[in-house]
Formats: sequence, structure tokens, C-alpha cells
Amino acid sequence: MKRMLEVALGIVTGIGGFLEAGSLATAAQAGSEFRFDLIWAVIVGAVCLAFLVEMAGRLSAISKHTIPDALRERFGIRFFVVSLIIMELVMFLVMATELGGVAIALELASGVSYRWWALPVGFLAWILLWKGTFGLIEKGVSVLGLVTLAFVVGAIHLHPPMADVVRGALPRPPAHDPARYWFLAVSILGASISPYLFAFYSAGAVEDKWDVSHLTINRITAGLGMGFGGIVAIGALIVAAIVFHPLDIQVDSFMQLPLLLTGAFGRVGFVLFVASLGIACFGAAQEIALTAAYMLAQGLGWRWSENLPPAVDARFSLSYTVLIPLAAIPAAAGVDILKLTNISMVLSAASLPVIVAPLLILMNDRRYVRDYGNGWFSNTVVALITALAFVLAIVSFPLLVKGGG
Amino acid sequence: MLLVLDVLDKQLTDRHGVRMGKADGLVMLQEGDAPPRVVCIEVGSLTLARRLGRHVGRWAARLARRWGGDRTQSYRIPWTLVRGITLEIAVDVDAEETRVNVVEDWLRIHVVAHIPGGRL
Amino acid sequence: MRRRTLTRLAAGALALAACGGPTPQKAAKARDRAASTATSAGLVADAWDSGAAPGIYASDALARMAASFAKDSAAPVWSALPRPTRDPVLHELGILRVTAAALDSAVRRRDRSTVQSLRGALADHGRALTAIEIDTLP
Repeated sequence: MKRMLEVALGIVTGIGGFLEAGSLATAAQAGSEFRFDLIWAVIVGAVCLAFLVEMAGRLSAISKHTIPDALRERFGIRFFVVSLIIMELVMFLVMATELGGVAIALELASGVSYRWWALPVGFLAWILLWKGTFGLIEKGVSVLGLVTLAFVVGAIHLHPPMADVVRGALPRPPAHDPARYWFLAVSILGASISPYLFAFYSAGAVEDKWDVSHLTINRITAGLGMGFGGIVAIGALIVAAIVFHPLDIQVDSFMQLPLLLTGAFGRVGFVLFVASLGIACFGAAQEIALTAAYMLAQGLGWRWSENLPPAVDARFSLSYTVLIPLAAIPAAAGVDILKLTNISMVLSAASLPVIVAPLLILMNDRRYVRDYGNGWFSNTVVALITALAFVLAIVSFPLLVKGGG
Repeated sequence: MLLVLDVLDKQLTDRHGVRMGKADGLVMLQEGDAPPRVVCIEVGSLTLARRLGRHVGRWAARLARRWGGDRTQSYRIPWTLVRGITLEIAVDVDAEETRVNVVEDWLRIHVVAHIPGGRL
Repeated sequence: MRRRTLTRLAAGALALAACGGPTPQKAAKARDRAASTATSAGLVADAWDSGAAPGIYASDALARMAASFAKDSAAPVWSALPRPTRDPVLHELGILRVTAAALDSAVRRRDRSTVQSLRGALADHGRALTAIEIDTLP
């Protein structure tokens, strides 16, 4: 019975945790500008994510060490510091995006500018981390995040032409504006395969005291959870393709996005959209704040756990205490949140190699994974993902310049 | 045993299995013609900073002198107290009785305790 | 070897960033974006009219869209166009800005009939903007 509950929770985590400001905005942009043509990018992203998350969970369940731990222990302090700096910068940008997303949701609901909401939102995120426990945050985010299923219901409700949807699931050369097409493809991949997620997930496995007996749950969470999560993002893409594409509407502001659901569901759709955006971004902001602190604490050997009172792991708790208000500054200063989203998603994609490439080695290091290392299939997949990660890292900057506008 | 691969940067655990930082550095001693041997493991951010480069090390040392005084000196664990090396290095000390958590303690008393909910 | 590749990549990125002056192609894209904002503003007005969108959101969104038309009008990108094209574009953008602002205040007054008539005007001028031909051939 307890196991069933855990499996259910795992799936819920995947669904509720997949959508955030980045995947929502990039899916809406892709649907409005290229109709169903970029569905394949969401699928590739979700599949890569499922494999990598499974490995992150397995690594930590078997070794009781997290990814940041392993980056330091296995590859030494210099490699760790380089990856720490890159990851913290990217996480800072993504956290700023997510806090901005929550602030926008509050503006949609209240009419008061998002700039005024950024710091209160940051404060709320902080107080929940300061007072809450890992289980509370993980379960709360996941269960509330189920509201994002509204996009799937919306997509079905709008009766998409299935033949076109299926055709979109296969990669194809762009019909027009190739720079923009590939820019959005990279953004979608960056939003799906968020680097922070692996570090978060592996810390979660240690926080929840996983061991060998959790490997099945780990596989189910990763596979089904991320799979269903990807379906939510595809739902958002399909809705945008049906509602916005025929009208030649391009998504260049979050203010347009409630229109995705008002057509199908009226006022209920508006409320569902605001709730989805607010909850999904808030959950992501909390996970990133925790991960930013985990990464520092685990790599540098501090005490860490979201389940300890802040007085016991002072350095860990103070890390997120300092980071959250800093990350609220861009939104409070009135930065365009959609532009920030696009930039941070591309940089997420660019930072992938520092966390994906080491997994290839760690998942074959018997000191960490003992007899539970990767088979040839997983190794092939992770090698392919690593190659993809390097390609993304190289093409991301030119695309940001050429296709970002 | 490979010192760099098996010891350096590894997680340290104390007598009670509690995590107590990483092996930030090693102190080696060479006497006469004998091959150098490890005398102790160092734990501390100054040691870590030195390994990142001479400039980082000097800068960290200057900062430490100004703000931290003696407390920030790295803590040394004699090699004779090492009990086992797996993924972690088990050492026969009690983390509570060492200086590895001085910064943690300082922050708890001077910062965290002043934030609501920050007391034990 | 690796350093040279990196240098080339950096140079390429810089070159891309440097060719940032206004061009007719960019002007055409900016026109399409403004037309897209006009269509979105129309949808917002419709959503309010049908009761799907609350007045608070509709008014806020329309005010932001009016501000975006104002920003578009002042954008340097139009300098790439010859006067006979540029003037009508700026003219339509001006009308769109005024219309969106008027829609915002009509929503705030809960003046349904004004919203409906302005919404028609918005659609007309959005179409007029799209209809302006921009010669994108070099």
C-alpha cells in the first residue's frame, strides 16, 4: 500500500513538476509560430529527461551520494568549481524567471504590476523553505501542480487534427524562418532537460533515504512521471497552435497567454491558467532555490538537509536565504520576463554538458553504482544525450543572437 | 592506493557516521631519503582556496586574516585516525569536538538566531 | 586547435550581433509582431465581453498592449523603410495605440457597446497594418 502511494506520488511529481515558466512559454511560442512542427522537440526533451532523472535517482539511491557530491569527489575541486559557477549562474537566471512567472500570475489576477509582486513572492518562497520540510515542499508542489493538466484537457477539447499532431512528432526541417525554429527547438530542450532537475532529484533521493528497494519506484517516477509531464507541455503547444497560429498571433508577452484557455473554458479557463502559471513557477522557484543551496553545500562538504532546522545547517539555509531575494531583483526591476525566460532556457541548454557528461562516467563507476551501473543501452542513450548537450552548448549562443528577437 | 583519486576531495565521516566536510587537502612529509608519506588530511576553506590557484589562495588568506582570525585555520586530522576508505573516509574523531563547523556555529549564533524561526 | 575553434565561434557570434542595424526584413517582422499584438488585444476585448476574462486582467492587458504600440512607434527599425511605406505604418501604429488605450478605459467603465465598436476598429486597423507591403528584397 505504501509502495503504491509512493509510485502515485512519483507520477504526480513528474506531471506537477514538469511545466514551469520556461516550458510553458516556449511551448506556447512554438505552437503559435510553427503550429505542431516542434512537438518532436518536447518529446526528445522529455525522453532525455526521463533517462537522466532515472540515472540521477539510481546513482543516489545506491551510493547515498548526490550528483554535486560526486562531481567534487570524482572529478576534483577544479572541475567542481567550474561546474558550480556555471550551474549557479544558470540557476540564478532560471529562478529569476520563475519568480517573475509567479509575479505575472499575480498581476493577471490582481491588475497590480508584477514588479510589486516579485519581492513578496520571494519572501513567501523563502519562508516555506525556512519553516517547511522536503516532503512538504515536494508533495505540495506536485499535488497542486496537477492543475497544469488543464492544458491537456484544453488540447483534447479543441479537437486537434491528429494526423498533423503525429506528423509534428517527427523532426523535420523548418517551413520558414530557420533561425527562429532552431532557437525555439533549443529553448524547448533547455526548458525540458533542466540541469537543476538532476541535482534536485538526486538530493531528493538522499533526503527521502532511498536505497536499492527504491529502484523500481525511481524507474516509474522517471519514465511515467516525465512522460506525462511532457504530455502537459505538448498540451500547451497544441492549444497555442490551435488558438494562436490561425490568427498569426506570436507570443511576445505573458499577458497573451490566458487567452489560451479562455476560449475553451471561459472564466474557468482564466482561473486555471493563472493557477497553473503561479503554482508551476512557484514550485520550480522553490526547487531551484533548494538546488542552488544543495549544490554549494554538497560540493563544499557543509551540513545540508531541508529536513533539518536552519540552525543546524546554517550555511545551507543562509545560501538560499541570500539567493532568493537576489533572484527576485530582475522581476522587481521590471525586466521583461518573457525575454528573460528565453535567455535562461537557452543558457540552460548551453550548461547541460557540465552535468550530463559526468553522468556517463559516474554511472559506470562501480564505487558509486556497484552492480547497478548502466547497461549498454543506457550508456548509448546517455552518450547520445551528451553529444546532443555539446551540440546545444555550441549552437545556443549564435541562435540566441539570431533567433531570439 | 591513489592518493588523489581515493582520498582527495572525498567525503569525511566521523566516529558516529556524521558527515564532516570533504578532504580539502593532504599534508605530506618527506624525511631524508624515505618516500614522502601522508601525515594528515586538512579540512578547511583556506586549504581549498589554495588548490584553486595561488591568487585565489592568497586572496582567501587575506580575507580570513581580516575577518576570521584563528578560527578559519584548516583543521588537520592525523592519518593514524583514518579507519577506512570507501566512497567515504571514516575517521576516528567526533565532529562535534573539532573545529570543522566553526563557521557553521558562528553563523548560527550571529545570523540565523536573529531570524525568526532560526533558533533550535 | 580547440582555442582556435572557440575564437572562430566567438567571432561568428559577434559578427551576428554586429549586423544589428535596421533592415526592411526586420521592419517586416516588427510589423507582423505589432499586428499580432493588435489581434491579441482584440481577443482580450472579446474575452472580457463574453465574461471569460475579468475586467482587472482585460484592462491591464490592454494598457500594456497600448504601451507596446507606443514603444513600437518609437522603434528605430522603421528608418529602414522608404517614407511612402513608413508613414502609413506609423499612422496605423498610432491609431492602434489610441484604440487600445480607449478599449482599456471602456473596459474600466464597463461600457460594453463602446468596447464592441472599438474592437471592430482595432481589427480593421490591425488588418490595414498587415496589408502595408514592405519590400524585403535587397
